[in-house]
Amino acid sequence: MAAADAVEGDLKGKRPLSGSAVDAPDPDAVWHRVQAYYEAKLARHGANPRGVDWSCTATQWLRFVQLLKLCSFDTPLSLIDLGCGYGALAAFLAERYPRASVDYLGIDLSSAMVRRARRRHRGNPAIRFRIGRSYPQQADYTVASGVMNVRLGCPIPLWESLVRSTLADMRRMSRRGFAVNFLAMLPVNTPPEMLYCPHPAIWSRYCEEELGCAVEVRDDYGIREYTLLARCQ
Amino acid sequence: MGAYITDTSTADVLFQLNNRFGPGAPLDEMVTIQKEFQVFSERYSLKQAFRLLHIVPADFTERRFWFVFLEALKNYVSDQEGISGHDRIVRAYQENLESARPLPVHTTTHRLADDRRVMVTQGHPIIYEPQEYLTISIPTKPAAESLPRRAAAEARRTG
Repeated sequence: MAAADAVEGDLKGKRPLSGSAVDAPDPDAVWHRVQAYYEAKLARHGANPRGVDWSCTATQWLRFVQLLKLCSFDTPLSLIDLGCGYGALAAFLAERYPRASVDYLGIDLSSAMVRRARRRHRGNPAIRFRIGRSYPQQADYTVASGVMNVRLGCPIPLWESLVRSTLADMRRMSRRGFAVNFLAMLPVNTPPEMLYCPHPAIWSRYCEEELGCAVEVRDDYGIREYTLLARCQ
Repeated sequence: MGAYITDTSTADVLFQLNNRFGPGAPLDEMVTIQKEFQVFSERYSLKQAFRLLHIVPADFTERRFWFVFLEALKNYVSDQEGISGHDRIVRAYQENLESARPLPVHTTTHRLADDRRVMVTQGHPIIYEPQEYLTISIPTKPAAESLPRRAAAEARRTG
């Protein structure tokens, strides 16, 4: 799934998290809320960039280009797409790298997203989808586009614990490296408690010091966000 | 545009165009998109380009007419001899976004009765801004004069 560069107004009417998601550090309640948010997007807009909260196909592609700078397509590779939504990255890979051999696994919290993704890519054995938040086996690379952005009022300490565990999962799932993007600043008119915009140093340092990666920060691609390319050492 | 989409949709897409190609961060985004994907080039028609950029009327029923209008621009004349309105717009975006000093783009309309050509100029269309813009002006008929014909054509089409 993606994250909120799309309809700035959409997050305005949203109520921040309440009940167990705030009072007790309950990650499941937070993820459940995030899942419901994206499923509502999918129901409203369908399987297209708006359905995963991006403004348009072109900006969605721009993010994919950055994430895929991690990968070498010269030899066959395996790729996990965490928060894959309706499988847009799988389609982009086929379009952008038609000669590459990619064993693709998309993972998403939402069964509705995975259903749509499977329908779009039916009949291609190199493209698979699973419902979940992680995967027990390793691939060469793991990428995640927009999964850290929409926190829906989740308190920062709790959200950051989820980011930390997600990055650790990505490291565990990756033999060669992982890539993830974050918002650099809030879109106009968006309530700050709904989105997460950390300084790049926070998570690049975490990936270097705690996860043992060499990290490259890319922030020069025309949109107000940045991508961490973490190479396993 | 009035011959194809309602006045509300015209205002809607003009607002989107002027936001997405506005000065600062929006223009930077468009420059990067152009550099990476050549959205404005012979590879894509305007209809395809605006689909990729999701510059479409909010009203779903109007979207089809917007795409019909974008295709119809191929039959419009422009301020460049022998270049259609469609190609003039594509090239204007392309040359501007790929230039050393890209300008924000201001899209507006003028009365078809005054000038049938798609016009591309450079200047200061927003009087309270010192910012220079590339201005694309599209010849337009008021929807009130044109939409009855669209309704009649639609009725004939659907039987």
